[in-house]
Amino acid sequence: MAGLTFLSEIGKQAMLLSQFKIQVTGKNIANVNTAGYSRQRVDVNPILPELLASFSLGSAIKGDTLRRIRENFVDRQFWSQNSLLAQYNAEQSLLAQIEGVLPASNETGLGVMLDEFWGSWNDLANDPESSVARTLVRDRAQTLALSFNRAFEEFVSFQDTVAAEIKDRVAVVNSLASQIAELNKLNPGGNPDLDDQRDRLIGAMAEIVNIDVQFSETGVAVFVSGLQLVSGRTAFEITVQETTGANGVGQISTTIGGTDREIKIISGELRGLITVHNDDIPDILDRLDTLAVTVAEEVNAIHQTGFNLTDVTGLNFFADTVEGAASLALDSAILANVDLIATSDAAGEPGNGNIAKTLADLGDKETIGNQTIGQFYRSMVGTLGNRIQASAFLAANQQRIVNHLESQRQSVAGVSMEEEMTRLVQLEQAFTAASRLVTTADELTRTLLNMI
Amino acid sequence: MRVTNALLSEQIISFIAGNQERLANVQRQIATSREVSVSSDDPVRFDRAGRFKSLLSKTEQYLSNIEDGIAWIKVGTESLDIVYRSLQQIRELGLQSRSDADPGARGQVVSFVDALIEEMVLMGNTRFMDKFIFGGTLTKGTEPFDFDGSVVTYNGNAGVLSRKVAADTYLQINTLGSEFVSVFGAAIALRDAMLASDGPAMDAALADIETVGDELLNTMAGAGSLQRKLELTRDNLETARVNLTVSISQAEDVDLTEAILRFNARELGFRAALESSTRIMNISILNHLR
Repeated sequence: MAGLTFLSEIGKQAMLLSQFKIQVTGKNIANVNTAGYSRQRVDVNPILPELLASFSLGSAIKGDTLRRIRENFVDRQFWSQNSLLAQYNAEQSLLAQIEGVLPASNETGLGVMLDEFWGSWNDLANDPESSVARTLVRDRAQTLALSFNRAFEEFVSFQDTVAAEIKDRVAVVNSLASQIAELNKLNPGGNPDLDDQRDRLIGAMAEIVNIDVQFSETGVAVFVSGLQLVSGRTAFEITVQETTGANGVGQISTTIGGTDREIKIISGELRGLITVHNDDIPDILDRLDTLAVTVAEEVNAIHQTGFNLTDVTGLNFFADTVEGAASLALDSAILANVDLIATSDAAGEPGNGNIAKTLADLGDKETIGNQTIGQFYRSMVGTLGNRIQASAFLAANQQRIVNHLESQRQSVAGVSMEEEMTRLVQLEQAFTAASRLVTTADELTRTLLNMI
Repeated sequence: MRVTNALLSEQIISFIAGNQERLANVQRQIATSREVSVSSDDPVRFDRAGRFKSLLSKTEQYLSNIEDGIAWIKVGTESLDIVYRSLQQIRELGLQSRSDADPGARGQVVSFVDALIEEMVLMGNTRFMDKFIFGGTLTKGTEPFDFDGSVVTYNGNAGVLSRKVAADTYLQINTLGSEFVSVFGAAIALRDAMLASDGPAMDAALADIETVGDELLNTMAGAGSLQRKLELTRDNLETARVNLTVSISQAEDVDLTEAILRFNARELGFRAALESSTRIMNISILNHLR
């Protein structure tokens, strides 16, 4: 009799187990498209030996564990590679925006304006008596100056946008860190759903900044370049420090937890943003300044030696207050009266265009190192183009690596509908079989009772 | 490898997106007929196109300088031509008058010579675009030649006017009045000799006119060869301009035939990707379970 009760008990346990497994399968199917979800399995210890040994009916399910199928090693690789991808993508898109801000086309760019500026001096050299040619020189110079001013301003305001973006990303990292610390409190590890959620947070963080993670019994510890960001239930904050570097150009650094220990961010979206903010934009601003100052100084030096229609000499063409692209402007006297533009190298010779001629030739002179002004400008545009191409190339390659790791991750952790449906059919059959156990035990008992 | 549904859809999405992007790129190239519009498209080709364009704009500048220079020289040679012919006429009048025995008729001839001298001075003060062409760099204000009835003075200077025709190459376009101011002196000397009926002085003046006439011819020939030089340079620059335009196009324009072929190939790839994706997405165990 005990044997038969036992049989129906086994049947019951088996039915409950199958039911639980069907539930888990259902959960997997329901989450087939949930990002970051790892498929779950029930680990089962054989029921029978345990029962036979002790006659204890300890639940077959209770001792079994629900676990997620996931490969931590691939995860770590994925996070670190994805960090690089986010960096390259950020750099590429920001640099492409810079290319848009920099009037760099071969039709309307600063290079064309410079050519036109030198050309207008040539026209004036041909026709130094003409006020039309003079006005043209003044207008071309003014357009050039305004374009320099505008380009500089736009870069500075673009840099401000990038700075705001950096602060925004840092705020996201800080919020993620405190969420991870919160999760460490709830679940130091083991709960598959909370583990998934924690990994999602880590993944999101890894896109923004390079991180290392260590798993322990107090949960996960997160490090950024060797400095601890999350330790058990405690999260530290990253702080953004803004300073002003050379020639008033903004620089940004990050420190940890209110200390002045600087974090050297080496990859992630933040790395891309900071590189563009601290290196690329200041570099372009610097070159624009060099261009503007060279144009102003060289033109003034020649212009001062010339005589104008009123036979006055020693005048500046550009204002003598030019310190960079932002302050490039015409001398106010020239702006007011084009007759003051010097064209002649001798007094009283209205037809003498030698100064205008020298100025027209200035565009072909190597005035910045061994480069002409036009060459310097073109090499600046070329450098930028190369940078964009390189980051686009790196991003495309990195995308391939990340795709590969993602498919490895998916192939371990992802839900396959075919698999789950097959398992469903299998479990259905197991359930049916288990229920047959109970009916069989029932029939046997009845037969036994009928014998009385 | 275990293939999961999410992986499959991720792949399909990324393939389709990639195909679409490539197709859009070719389409943009075809629509704009440009392969290189910004530096990042191809820094080397972009830079090449930029340098060619800069050269082209300089070449065009040189061409317009040359046109301006040729016009200037032409006006100059036309004026000098008239001066020369007037001089010849004065000489003929002088010769006739020398052989003419009737001194009474000489007065008329002298006033005719005077008119011719006036004409020559007028030519010396020719303006082009409202500028004196024979006064050196003194192109405005006082006329280069001043005739007070007895002597012609040159008020211009030795300033050279030139036009840039290549990097570091300037060609002179003006003839200085000082080169032919002697013409007036010779003509006036003849007139004075005629007025004074001084036979030997007339002979001397006629000989002098012949000399300065030859000098004037030389000056005119110099201007002519300068014009020829400018025209030759212009022809060279025209060729260079055409070559530069071709080079610019090669540097930044798209080869349409090639681009359209690429477009077709990519379109085919895109269609194939779409077709195979929909087929794969329709295969599921769910279609086979009851």
